[in-house]
Amino acid sequence: MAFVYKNRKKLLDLLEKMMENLFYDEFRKIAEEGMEKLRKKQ
Amino acid sequence: MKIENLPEKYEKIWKKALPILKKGRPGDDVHAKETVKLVLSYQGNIKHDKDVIIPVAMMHDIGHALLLPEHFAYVTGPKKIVNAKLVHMLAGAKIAKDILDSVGYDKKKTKEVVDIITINDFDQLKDVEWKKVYDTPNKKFFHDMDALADIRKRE
Repeated sequence: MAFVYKNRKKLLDLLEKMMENLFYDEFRKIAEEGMEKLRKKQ
Repeated sequence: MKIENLPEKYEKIWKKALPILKKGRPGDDVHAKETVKLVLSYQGNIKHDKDVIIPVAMMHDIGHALLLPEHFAYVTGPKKIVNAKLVHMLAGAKIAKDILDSVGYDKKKTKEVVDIITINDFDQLKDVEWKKVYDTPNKKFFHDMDALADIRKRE
């Protein structure tokens, strides 16, 4: 995928959607932790 | 750009893929490397075949290298992003097949690698029941690795 986004809000929305679309719960948990770190950075 | 702990059997593929990835979008080479590292580090129980997933991880975005600014003049209209995605998937599949053939990679695995690259961004298309397209364990596994690599690189 390797998205290049200038707008951070758009990027976070996109990553959020990617997280929801994951097939495996095991990976969703890892993604949720990552998203949490990203939201805190915002 | 070296991938730490990459088994030797994949080195030849990476050596050929990397210069092409560098001609693509900024960051495609790094994303490919990070996706490979993520796959190599996976120790869980989800079924997958690394001999398929590693080459896919290396080359899934390689088709962007063939999309030149001149081409975008013809990729227009309300579906231009979708069209560009389709083009990169198909171009990428062709490049990947050429690379795998050139290094004498297993034919059956090559076919599966090409198959996955052909659909790897289907979840980005609109009005498509994309989940139905990811119809094998390897397709599902790669889909999630690709997304995770994107999320993690921004942490």
